[in-house]
Amino acid sequence: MSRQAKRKLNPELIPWRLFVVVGFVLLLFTALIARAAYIQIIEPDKLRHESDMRTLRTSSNQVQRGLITDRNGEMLAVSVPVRAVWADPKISHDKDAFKDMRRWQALADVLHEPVDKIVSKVQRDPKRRFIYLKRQVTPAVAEYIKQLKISGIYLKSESRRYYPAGETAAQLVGLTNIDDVGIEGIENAYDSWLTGTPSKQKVRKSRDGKVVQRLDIVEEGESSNDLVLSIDQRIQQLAYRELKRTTEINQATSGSVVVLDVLTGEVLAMVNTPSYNPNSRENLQSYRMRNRALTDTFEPGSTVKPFVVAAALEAGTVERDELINTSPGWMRVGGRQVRDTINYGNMTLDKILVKSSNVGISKVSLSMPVQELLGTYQSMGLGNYSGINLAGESAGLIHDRRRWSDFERATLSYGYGLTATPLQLARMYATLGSGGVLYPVSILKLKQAPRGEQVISEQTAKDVMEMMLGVTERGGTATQAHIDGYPIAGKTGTSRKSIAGGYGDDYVSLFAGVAPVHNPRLAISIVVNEPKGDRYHGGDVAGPAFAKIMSGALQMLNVEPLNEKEKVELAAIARRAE
Amino acid sequence: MSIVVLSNAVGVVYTSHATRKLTSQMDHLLQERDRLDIEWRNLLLEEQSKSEHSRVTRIATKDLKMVRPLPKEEVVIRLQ
Repeated sequence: MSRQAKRKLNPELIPWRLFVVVGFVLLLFTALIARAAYIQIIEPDKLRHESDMRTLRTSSNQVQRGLITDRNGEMLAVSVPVRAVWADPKISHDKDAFKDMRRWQALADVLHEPVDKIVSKVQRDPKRRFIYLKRQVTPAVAEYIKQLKISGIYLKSESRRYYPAGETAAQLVGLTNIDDVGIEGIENAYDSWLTGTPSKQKVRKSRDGKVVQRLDIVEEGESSNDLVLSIDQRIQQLAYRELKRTTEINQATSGSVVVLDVLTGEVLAMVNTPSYNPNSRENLQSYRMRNRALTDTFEPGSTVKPFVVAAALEAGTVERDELINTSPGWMRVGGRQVRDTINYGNMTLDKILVKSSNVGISKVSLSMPVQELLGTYQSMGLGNYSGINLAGESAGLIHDRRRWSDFERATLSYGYGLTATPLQLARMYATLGSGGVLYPVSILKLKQAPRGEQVISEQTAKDVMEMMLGVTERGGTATQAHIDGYPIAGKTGTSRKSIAGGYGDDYVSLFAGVAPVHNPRLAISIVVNEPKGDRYHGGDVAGPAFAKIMSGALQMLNVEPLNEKEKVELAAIARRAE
Repeated sequence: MSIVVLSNAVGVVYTSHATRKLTSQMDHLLQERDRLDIEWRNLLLEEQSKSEHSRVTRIATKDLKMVRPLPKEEVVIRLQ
């Protein structure tokens, strides 16, 4: 024992042991350095890949569909982000999610559906990986579902379109389907402009989910664009209310109103009845969704008479002050009869329009070659697209042929044998108001007036408007369309609807006009289809609505009413019709 | 030389940390923007439904007993 202790007190260096230990340590270090160098320099890709797998994420931002507003910035369509609830049945089965039925019950309650329906949907096919349970749920509901923490139930972002204007602009603005694609109206026509595509970006996220580095953009997105319509929602609302009332009172099948800005060709209102609520899509009926103001044509009846006078004045076949003999209140043309309600005797052009004399206007029409009349109709936009550029627009029908019988030439002058849309009718009257300049119709708000085309002389347009002053005065055909303060150049129309083999018992009642005559601003056409009441005459059916819409709209646009001096001057002009 | 290299290395670490912090802040702000955008859209809807013309007309005529003057009752006042 003592010998051993003694030896410990004086340790001796044993060189081979030292070399072994030092050598071993050095070897370890070399190995470490070699390994580090291998990882860093020779083969770094694998670990980089591993790191990227844990930190790199592709983030995409959701792009909302563009807004649609009216000309004053009022919203007509707004997209709001919502969530879709979807299930992955495979995960639900693997994680045994059906153990706790209380959660499923809560899910069913918040989605307003029976619980067994939802459960059976998910249970039916355990191999499926994706089922929509409910689309477009509000963020609050989505948050609740998230808290339920059911395995295999997930949320997905999507957006929902709201239409604050509701049924007043339903056909015009149109609809998107559940996948946010425009399928009707403006939503359809300007779909690519309104739709944005999300951009995708690679980002590096830290452990707590914060983005710490933005890397390259995977997919360049495109932000959506907003759309400003030429519609004035105040006028749109007013027009819809009046049209709806008119349709109900007269038990009509449908109706349309178009309000045009005379100076620019912009559409200020375009409404149709029957309408629908675009915010609830349970029972959409296609006949309610049609924008009848563009798609439906009818024979315009007496509303085209002013343009016959305009054509004759342009052609020089009648004079401004010419007297036309309509005795004895009927005439025979090519073996058929054209008749007035009573014998008006000698009439001025003014009086022909004010009393809406078929005989008088037929004589005016027969005084000029038929090509003059058709040319005037066509140059005012009949038989042609208006430039509004919406799907389903009808161009109307105006025959283009060489030979016309005299009777056909007469009927053309009181609006039979050709068809037009309410929009075309409004546009014709707007052309009178703008001093004979035809503007392309625009549904988008314009920065400046477009280039129009002078189709009739300014003097003729002015003369014809003055001739129509008497229509809404006492003795005219539409006293109910009279507005105190705003003189109107308007014309009634009542046309029988054609059926196979002739004309039936249904009518189309119309009123179209432009006001105020001394400084025209608005052109309005009102078409009421198949009024079932006792009254079917255009002045009785469409006249009152015209007065309400026109006076309301002019007041909204701050158009000055007539002052006393102008009133006296206009009265003098109107008296000439007597 | 080695001191320069070392301080440079520390500098690189520091700036990359600062960049990450700023990036995360930016991301946070972007999320805030999205949240505000959603809120704005909902407020728009609320404003729209509150200011709906038929509602305003109803309140004006029924509750406040207002009437729209006829064109002939209007008085035009010219400035200048």
